[in-house]
Amino acid sequence: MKQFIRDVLAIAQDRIRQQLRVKVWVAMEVIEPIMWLVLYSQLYTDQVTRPFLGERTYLDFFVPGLVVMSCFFSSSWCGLGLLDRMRSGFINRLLVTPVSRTAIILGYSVALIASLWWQVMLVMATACVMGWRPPLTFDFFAVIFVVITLIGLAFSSLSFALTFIGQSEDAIIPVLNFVQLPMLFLSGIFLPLSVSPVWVQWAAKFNPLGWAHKMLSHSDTPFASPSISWMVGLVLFAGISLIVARRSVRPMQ
Amino acid sequence: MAIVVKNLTKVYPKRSHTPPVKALDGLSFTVHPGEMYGLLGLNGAGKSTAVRILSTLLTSTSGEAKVLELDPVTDGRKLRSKIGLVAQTVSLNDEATVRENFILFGKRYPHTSSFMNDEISKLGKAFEIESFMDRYVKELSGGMRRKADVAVSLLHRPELLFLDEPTLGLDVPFRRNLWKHLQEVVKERGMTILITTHYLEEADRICDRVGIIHQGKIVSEGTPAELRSKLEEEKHQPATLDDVFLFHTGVSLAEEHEE
Repeated sequence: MKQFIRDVLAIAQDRIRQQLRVKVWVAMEVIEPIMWLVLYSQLYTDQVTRPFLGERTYLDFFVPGLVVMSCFFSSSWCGLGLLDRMRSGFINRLLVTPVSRTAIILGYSVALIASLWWQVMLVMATACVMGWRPPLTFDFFAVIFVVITLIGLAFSSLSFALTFIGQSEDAIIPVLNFVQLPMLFLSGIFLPLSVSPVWVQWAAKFNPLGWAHKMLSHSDTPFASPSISWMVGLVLFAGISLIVARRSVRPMQ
Repeated sequence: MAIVVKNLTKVYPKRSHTPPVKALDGLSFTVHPGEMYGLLGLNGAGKSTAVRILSTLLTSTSGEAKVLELDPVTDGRKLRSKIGLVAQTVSLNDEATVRENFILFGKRYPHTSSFMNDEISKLGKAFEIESFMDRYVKELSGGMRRKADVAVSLLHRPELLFLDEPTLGLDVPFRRNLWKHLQEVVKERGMTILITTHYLEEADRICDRVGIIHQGKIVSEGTPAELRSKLEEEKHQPATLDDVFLFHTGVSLAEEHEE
């Protein structure tokens, strides 16, 4: 177990180091979510949102959604970053060491989750400057931490699985495009689901992004029964995704 | 035996626009402990597929393989701690320094830090890579990268090393230089080596035995001298290893390589 943890951390450290040395990557990771926050938070005026948000501003509603969206996009695209390493033979080299396949997947996921944490902190800090007032409680930060970790683990695992199976941009990008936007629109991130048709509300019940969004929106009562059931759902989803990724690990053909 | 392969077959399944490909078709050969064995063949002959199966990266379709008395499928984890692989392309992290690569891969094996540091120092000297240990891999020339790549694969003192076209694309002086370093280390450690190569003069010079692989099976096997003398007896004229290759496959590997 000790060696397993060392392997996970070493792979994560190697990945983080590689990313930090690419200046463009660092810049885009900072700029992109802030740009989303600034642009998307201006989508609706208070007049439009008042009927279904009451006294809450759209920023209050949107920030938890943006956190989920940033995590979702970053983690579901992160498999593409592995493709280059698969082509160079680096992953094959790791696969010929005694490192377990699970440690390889987890190592890359941990690197991604670490980048998500600071990205989300930056988004929240910017939102505060724009007037958002989060509940500054331990529960709130605990829920943020859990949601980032579970969304990051689940979708990065699925992204790695897709990369190991597809092994080319041509196979991976269409699948991501096909899945991403529908999942986002069926999550209630942009507008409350209460204003959507019944079938959309029904479909959203099966959407892990929706569970994550609801957990963040109810972060003042994280231990109430709905939050616990969404968290259990996310834990199961992340676990299954990790198993799928583990079973997909294979060398570049 | 270090490697025993019996009737190994590998069929790559059908893909959208390509039919199934039979890469190995009853491959059989053995490699003795401490031996340097060369698999010689054209592109697509099945050399790399064989290496991938024996190094636990792929599973075979049928047949048997034992590497260091272990089954690559069922004993994969145990086997991986005893083998090393040098692939056709340099498989280091480009964005890291040579030393960081040494540490990343070295720490994946159950050795102490002091053992690893000693080994890094010894390999640095043996392969003459000390001067660029702290440079990024992406800044190095092809030959320097390859030397570092081979040195990293020796760090955990593998009992068996797979070298899949390790000198592909390198110029002659650099190839000779790499072999000089590698042979010294191999001799000192008594390692077994399975190498695949296109370069017949290289195989002739460094391999204890070679197997000519054609269309997924071994068509001739022996020491380079044995193979040459057999053909010389048959043709009553001096023969090179390329003549032997031509005789068994109908293709000259030297000409193929020049093209």
